[in-house]
Amino acid sequence: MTNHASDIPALAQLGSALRGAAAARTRRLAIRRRVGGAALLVLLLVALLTPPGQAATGWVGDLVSGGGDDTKPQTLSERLANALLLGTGSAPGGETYEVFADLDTDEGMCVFLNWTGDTHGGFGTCQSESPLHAAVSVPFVDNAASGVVVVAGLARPGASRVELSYTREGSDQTAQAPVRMFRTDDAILRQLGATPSQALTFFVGFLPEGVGDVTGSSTARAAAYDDAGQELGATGVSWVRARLGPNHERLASCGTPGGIIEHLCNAASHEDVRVADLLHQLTGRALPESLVTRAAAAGIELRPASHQDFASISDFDSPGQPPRDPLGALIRSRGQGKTGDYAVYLARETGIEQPVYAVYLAIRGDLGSSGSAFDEHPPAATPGPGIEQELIGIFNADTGEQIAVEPIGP
Amino acid sequence: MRGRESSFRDRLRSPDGFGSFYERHAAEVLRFFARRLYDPELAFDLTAETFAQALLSVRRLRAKSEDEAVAWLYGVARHQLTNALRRGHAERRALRRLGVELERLGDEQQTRIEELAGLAELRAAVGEELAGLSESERQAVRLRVVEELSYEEVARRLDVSEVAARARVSRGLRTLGAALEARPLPEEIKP
Repeated sequence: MTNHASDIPALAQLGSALRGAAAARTRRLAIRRRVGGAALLVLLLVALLTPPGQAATGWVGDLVSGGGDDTKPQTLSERLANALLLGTGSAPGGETYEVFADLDTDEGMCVFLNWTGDTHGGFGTCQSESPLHAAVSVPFVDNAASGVVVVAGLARPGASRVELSYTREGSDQTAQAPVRMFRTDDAILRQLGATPSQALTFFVGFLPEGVGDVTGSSTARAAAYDDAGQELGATGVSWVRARLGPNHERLASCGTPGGIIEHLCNAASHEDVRVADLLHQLTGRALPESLVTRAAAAGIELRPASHQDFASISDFDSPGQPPRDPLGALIRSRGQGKTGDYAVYLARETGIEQPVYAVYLAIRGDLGSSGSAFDEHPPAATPGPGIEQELIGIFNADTGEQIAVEPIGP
Repeated sequence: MRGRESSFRDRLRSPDGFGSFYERHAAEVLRFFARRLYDPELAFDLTAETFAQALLSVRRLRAKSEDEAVAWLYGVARHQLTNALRRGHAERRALRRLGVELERLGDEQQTRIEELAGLAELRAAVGEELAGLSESERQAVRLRVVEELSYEEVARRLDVSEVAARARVSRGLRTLGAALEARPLPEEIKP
């Protein structure tokens, strides 16, 4: 078809507008994938590698910048044209960060933290529910910055402060972590085109890196208070430090802030990751056997995956809300990879009465130049070319007992 | 092969790729709507909404080739057309989500769309093809489409049962549609 857009200026203008919208959308998706943002009321698994002597922040930076060769990370303001700076701060170790807000057409008000110094990377979340139902929500536990664990989340706009308390290592004493608050004031809301009900309060707190047991789970408590000092609500924050190999470990959070989040954890392959073991640690549920072993037994080769195969984000539905797909599987892949081979997802099913987890194994063949494990969420019932997806098993969410299983492999 | 298919999808999902896809097919989609609605403004609105909807959905697209992507695009377009015919106006839901504003078309642009879609020729062709229908079908189509009478009233005027009236209108429109589809397009807008 010969294009006659030039004959009709409106058609040409529409093309330019759509191209611009596509670029903005791509940026938002990329940021959300790379930085790790997802809808609030979603459990977010934030995993960062911090092996001694290894540039853990490097690959996090890769995720953010999209390539490992960049020596100077872009700032979020450069990547998010419409994002507005809420403020800047620094971690106890001196690493600096900036916090941005952005109004997303799909997911509402979003907030991002971006490390600006030698530490690359960051994370973000969107407040799909306005105003926030829970008094405080803590979707992020992050140890990208050296020497500290960052605990970040959202508080109800009426909260004047958030307290983050934890137990000191080797003692029963409770300590308070420094917390910084960032708010979308009226001027910011106006500039973003947001309504007052979309106001967002973001907080960032810092815990010592050594908090908690290296091989077990750690906990802290986040509580929101109003001007009168009245506690509006609190939530426990827990995370695990999973050893994923001789040189890697992953810090991961899996909680149920505000009691309204159906938690879901999502783990991806990385080197000699024992995915089932990681899932076990994250959920506290006993999975019957290693998925890796299971796949191998079925004759499926699971080769090591690259950093960029890391898929970090999960999805969930709120209680009372209809599940987002017929099975109620709440799975969202954020696969970044170009050469990855497998990823495992754990999802809590909400479409049926009994709370269960379903574990899926996604195996990718050679997808060629690019692609991610799933481009859709939830994964299509009939995976696209190059993607095989198998339901490994369904487990009782309370007991961990396997209640149904589908064979994997041919 | 798989790499090529994946590469096609990736290209389409990129801003430039989608922009090029738009440039290749926007005029054709506009004509698609214009020839079915005889309303350049509504046709333009639906074209915009179709591509906006396509952009929002492109990441779920599994098309392996341009042909498959075009088939999908026209699926979106037909859905928009059906909705517009039912509602009598174009929705702008996807455009709003993308933050794309549409300006009203001026007379000059509306005229140009009519030219591109060959609406003048189409109107003339409708007259010619209508004349080619049987008398009973032509009467039924005229009463139902031009005078917008109910089937009950069409049946009463033609002194036939309502079932027979529906059948005549349906046959007449089908014949008319097929004849119009078979008509050559104006030279300047041939693919």
